[in-house]
Amino acid sequence: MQAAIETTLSLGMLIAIPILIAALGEAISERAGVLNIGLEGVMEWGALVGFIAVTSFQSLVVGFTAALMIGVIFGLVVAILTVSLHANQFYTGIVLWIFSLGVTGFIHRMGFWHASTLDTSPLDVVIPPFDRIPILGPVLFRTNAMTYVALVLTLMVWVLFEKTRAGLWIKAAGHRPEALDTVGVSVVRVRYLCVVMCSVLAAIAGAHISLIATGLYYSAGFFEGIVAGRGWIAIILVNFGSWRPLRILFGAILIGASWALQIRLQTLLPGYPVHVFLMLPYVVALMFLFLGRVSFPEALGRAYVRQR
Amino acid sequence: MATSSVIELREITKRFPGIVANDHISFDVRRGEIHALLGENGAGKSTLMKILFGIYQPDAGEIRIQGAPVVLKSPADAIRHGIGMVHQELMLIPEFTALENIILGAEPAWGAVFVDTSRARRRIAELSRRYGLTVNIDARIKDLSVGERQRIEILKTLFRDADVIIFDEPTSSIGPQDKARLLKLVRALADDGRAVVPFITHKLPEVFEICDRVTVLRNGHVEGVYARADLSPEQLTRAMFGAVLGSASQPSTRGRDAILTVTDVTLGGPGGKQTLNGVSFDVKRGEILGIAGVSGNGQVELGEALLGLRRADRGTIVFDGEDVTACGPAEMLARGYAHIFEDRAMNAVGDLSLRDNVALSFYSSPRFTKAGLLLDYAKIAETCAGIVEGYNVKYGHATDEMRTLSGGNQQKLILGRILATFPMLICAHNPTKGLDLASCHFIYDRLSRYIESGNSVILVSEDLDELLGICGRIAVMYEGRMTGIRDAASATKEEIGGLMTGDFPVSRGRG
Amino acid sequence: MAAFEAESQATSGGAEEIEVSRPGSEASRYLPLGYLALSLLLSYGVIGLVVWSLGLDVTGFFKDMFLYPLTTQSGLSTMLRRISPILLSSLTLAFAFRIGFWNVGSPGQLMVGMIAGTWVAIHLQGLPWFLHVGLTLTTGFGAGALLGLILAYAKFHFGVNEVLLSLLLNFVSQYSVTALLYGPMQGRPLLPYTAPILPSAELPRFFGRVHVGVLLAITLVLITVAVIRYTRFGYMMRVMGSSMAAARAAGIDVVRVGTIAVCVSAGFSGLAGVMEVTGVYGYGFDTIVQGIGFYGMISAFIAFGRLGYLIPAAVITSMVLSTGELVKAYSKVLPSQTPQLLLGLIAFGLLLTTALGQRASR
Repeated sequence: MQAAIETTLSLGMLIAIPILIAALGEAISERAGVLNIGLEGVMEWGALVGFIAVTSFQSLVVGFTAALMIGVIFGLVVAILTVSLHANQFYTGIVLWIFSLGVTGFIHRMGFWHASTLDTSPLDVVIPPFDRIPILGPVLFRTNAMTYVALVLTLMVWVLFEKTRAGLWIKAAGHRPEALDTVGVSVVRVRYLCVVMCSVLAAIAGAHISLIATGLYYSAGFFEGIVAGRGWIAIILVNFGSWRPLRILFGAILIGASWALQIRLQTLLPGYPVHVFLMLPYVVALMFLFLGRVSFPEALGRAYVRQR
Repeated sequence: MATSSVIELREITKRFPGIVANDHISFDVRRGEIHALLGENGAGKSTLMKILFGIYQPDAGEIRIQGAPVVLKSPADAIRHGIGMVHQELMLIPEFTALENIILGAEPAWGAVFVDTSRARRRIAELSRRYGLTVNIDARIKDLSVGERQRIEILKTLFRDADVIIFDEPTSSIGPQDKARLLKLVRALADDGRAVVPFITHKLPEVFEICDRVTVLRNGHVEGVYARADLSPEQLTRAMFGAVLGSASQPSTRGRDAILTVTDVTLGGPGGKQTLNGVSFDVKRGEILGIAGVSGNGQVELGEALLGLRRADRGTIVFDGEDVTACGPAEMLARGYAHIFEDRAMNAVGDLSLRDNVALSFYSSPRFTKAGLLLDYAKIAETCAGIVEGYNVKYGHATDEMRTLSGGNQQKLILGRILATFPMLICAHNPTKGLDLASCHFIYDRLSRYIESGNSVILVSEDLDELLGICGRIAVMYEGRMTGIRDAASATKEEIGGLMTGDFPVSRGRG
Repeated sequence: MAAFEAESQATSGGAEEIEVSRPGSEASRYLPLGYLALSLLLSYGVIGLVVWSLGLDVTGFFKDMFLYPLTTQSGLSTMLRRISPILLSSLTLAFAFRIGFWNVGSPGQLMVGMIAGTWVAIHLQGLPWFLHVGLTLTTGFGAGALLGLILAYAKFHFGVNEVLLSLLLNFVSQYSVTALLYGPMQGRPLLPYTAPILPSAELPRFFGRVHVGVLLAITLVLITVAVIRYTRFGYMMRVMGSSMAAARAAGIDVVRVGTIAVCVSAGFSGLAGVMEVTGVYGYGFDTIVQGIGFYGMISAFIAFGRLGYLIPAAVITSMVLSTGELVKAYSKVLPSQTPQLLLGLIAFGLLLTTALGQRASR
C-alpha cells in the first residue's frame, strides 16, 4: 500500500514538473501584463524540437538547448506581435496555438525522425539514504535532475518578484505601465524580456514532456498533440496561484498527483473505459478555474500604447 | 531671457493632425522661481509640459537646460537632466506601497540586482523631515487619500534630486487643507533653490498667491508673461479667454415637492474606501441640485446606486413617489431617470456610429420597434439628425464612429439623446470636464432651460464656480455622506470648501 | 478584433484632449482582402517550396490542388460536404464574438451534439422522417447549447475566463463522449462506434454525398447576419460587443442577452456534430469531428470574425482541406497533414499582416 502511494506520488511529481515550469514562465509574462495564451503552442514546439534534437544528436543537453532556442524564437514572435504591433493578445495566442499544432504535426510526419529508443537515464537522480524516507523520499530523492531544476526555478522566480529591481519593474509593467514609463524604464524592454523568458520556459517544459514525462507512462517521443492541454492547465494554475510561485508549485503538484492517480486507476479498475479516468486532471483544473482570482495585474491583456 | 534660467524653451512648435498645439512658444524658468503656466483646456499647456518631460518631441524649437541645448527623447532623459513631474493623474501604482512607488526606477541597489530597502528608507525619511512631508511609506497607495498620494508623487521627484519640478494641475482634486499645505511646500521647494512650474487652469487662482511670474497661453501661443506684482485677476481672465463667466439665477424652490428622496443609503465598496455611509438628501421638482465634493468621496457610487447598477445595502430611494431601491437600470430609465456618467465610456460607444449611439436611448422603446423584433433604424436616424442639428454637433458623416467627434461634440450628442427621452430627473456627473468653453456654456444653458418645465437636474461636480453658477442648492459629499446642503445664492466658496473636507461641523440638514 | 478593451476610446482623458479625425474608412474596407490575399500567397508559397525541395512537379501539384476540389465530382462533393460543419463551427466563434465572448469550445460542443443527437437518431423508432430529423437536429443543437449555458453561467456569475473554461470543457467533453462510445453507446464490439442510425433520421442528399445540412448551415448564417443587423436583440449584442459598461448603463440586460447568444453559438456546433452523423456517416464514432473545431476557428479568422464573410471563408477553408484526398497521391513523400500546415500558415499570415497593417495605419 505504501509502495503504491509512493510510486504514485513520485510519478505525480515528475508529471507536475513540466506544468510547473510552464506555469512559472506564464506567471512572469502575465505579471508584466502580457497574456501568453499560445503557451500550449510553444510547448508543442519545444516537445518537437527537443525530441528531434535528441534523436539526431543522442544528447539530452542538446535537446533541451534546442528547445530553449525555439522558445526564444517563438517568444520574439509573440513579443513583436503583442508588444510592438499591439495585436490583441487573445487572438494572437489562439492563432499561434493552432498554427503550432498544424506545423508541428506536419514536421513530425515528414517522417525523418523515428522514435528510436530514447535513453533519459543520465538524468535520473537517486540520493541515498534520503530516498528511503517514507512517502517523501521517493518523491524528492529518487527522481530526475529536471525536478531539482524546476524547484530551484520556483525559488528563483520568487526571489525575482520579491527582492530584485527587475521584479518591481515587472510588476509595475503589469499594473500600470504608464507609471513605469514615466520614471524612465522602458516598458517595451521589460515586456519583451518577460515574454521571451516565458516562451523559453514553456519550450523547455515541452521538451520535458516529450523526452521524460510521457516516457513514464507511455513511451517517450513526440506525437501530435502531446501536450494535451497542459499548457492551458498551466495558465489556469497561474491564476489559481495568484501569480505567486509557491502557490503555483502547490497547484502543479495537485495536478500532477491527479494525473498520476488516474494512470493508476486505469490499471486498478479495468472495467471502465480509460477515458473516464483521463478526465480527472482536467476536472481538477476546472475546479481551480472556479476557485482562483485575487488582485489582478490591471494592465493584463491590454496593449500599452505610448502617447506620442 | 536671463542667464539665470534653469530651463529655457525657445520657439517650441508642436503640431497634431488638424491642430497646432504649440505655436512658437517661448518659456523660461529661473532658479528659485515659481513660474505658473496658465490657460484653459485646449490652450496647449499639457502638450508643452509633455515636451518638457520628454513624452513628446517638438516639431521645431529647442530646449535649453542650464544654457546648454538638449534633446529629450523620453522621460528617462528628462529625469537625468533633473526634471521631475508631478502628474495630474498621479502616476502611482495602487497595488504598490508608497515606498515601492517612490523608488521605482531609481532603486538603491546592492549588486545592481537586489533592492536595498534600508538605504531607500533612510533617504526618504530624510526628505520627509526636510520638507515636512509626513506619510506612511508602507501603506498601499489605494489606501491613501488623494492629498497623501500627491505627497508621495512629490517625494518621487525629490528622491531623484529633481532641480525642476513641474506640477500638472496640482490643486484641482484636493481639498482646502491639502491645498494650503501644498502651496507652503511649493514655496519651500523654490526657496531651496529649485525651479517650480505649476500648470493650472483659470479655475485655480489661489496659486497666484505664491507665483513669481505667470505665462498665459491661449490657442497654442503665448498671450503674455506677467510678473505677479502686475497681476490683477480680471486682467488675467481677459487674457485667457476674453469673457468673464456670469452666474445664472434660479427661481426659488421653496414649497415644491420632491421628485427624488434618498434616505440613509449605504453601499459597501471593495476594501472599504469607496462607500456610501448613509447618504440622505432630496431633489425638488424644477431645481438644479448641485453635489459638490472632491472626487473619490462616493459620487460614482451614488450615481451607480441611483441608476440601479448597484443595489444599496441599506436605505431607500424614492423616485416620483415610488420606492425604487431595488430597481435596475432598465427600470429606472423607463421611469424617467437618466444618468450622464463622468466616464464617457459609460455614456457612449466609440466604435459605434452616431446613429447607433443615439439608439442607446431608444432601443427599448416600442415607438422605435417594428414588428416587435426589429429596430426602426430609419426613425432613429431621423431622431439623430434632429439632435445633431438642435445641439449644434459638428460631425463628418452620420455613419461615422462616435469617437471621431471631439469631446465637446460627443458630450452634446449624449446630452441630446438623453434629453430627447424627456426624463424627469437627470443626474450629470462632471458633464463639462475637459470641454472647451463654448461647449460648457452650451450645456449649462440647456440644463438651465430644461428645468423650466418642472424637470430636475442633479449636477455632480468638483468645479465650485460651475456649481455656484447654475445650481439652486448645493449639497456637499464627503466620505460617503452629505455634510451639508446650502442655498447657492447665499453660500460662499470657503463654506462649501470647508464642507468638502469635513472641516465644518457636520450638519445633516436639508436646505 | 478589439472587443476586450473595457473602455472605448471616447473616454475623456486629462485636462486636454487633442481630438484627431480618422482617415476615411472606404479604403480600409478592402484591406482585409489584401491581408488575406497576401497570407494565401505566402502560405501556398511555403508549400510550393516544400514540394519543390522534395523534387516533385510544383506546377502540376498546384494545378491538381486547385482543380480537384472544383472540377471533379468527388472533389466537389467532398468540398461541399465539408462546408457544413466548418461553417457552423466558425459561426460559433464569430457569433459569440459579437458580444466579445470567446467561445473556443466548438470541438467539445461538436462532440456532445453528435452523441446526443445520435442517440435520438438510433433509438426513437416509428417516427416519420421529417419529425425524426427535426428531433435529431434539435437535440444536437440543444446539447451544444447546454454546454454553452455552462460557459455563460460561469462567466456571468463567477467571472470565470471563458477561453480557459471552454478549452478545458473540450477535453472533458471529448473524453466523456469517447467513454460513452466505449460504454453504453457502443454499437460494435471493441470499437468506439455507435450502432447505425435509423433510416428515418437520415438527412436527404443531393449531388451524391452532399446533404441538405449545407443549405441549413448557409441559411443559419444568413439569419444571424439579419438578426445582428436589423433586430433589437442584434443591436443589444453589438453594443455589448463594443462596450459592456455602456450596455449595462443603457439598461441592457447583459446577462440575459449574453446567455442567449452564447447558448445559441454553442448550439450551432452541436448541430454541426449531429449532422455529420445523420448526413454523412450514418453512425457516430470518436474521431468523427476531429479537427473540425480548429478548422472552424481558422475559418472564422479568415473571415476576420465578420459574419458576412463566413461563407466565403468556409469555402476557402474547405477547398484547402479537400486537397487531403488529393495529396494521398503524393502521400509517399508529403504527409497527410499538408492541409493542416497550410491552414496554420494562413492563420499565422493573417495574424502578421493584420498586426502590421494596424500598426501602419496609426
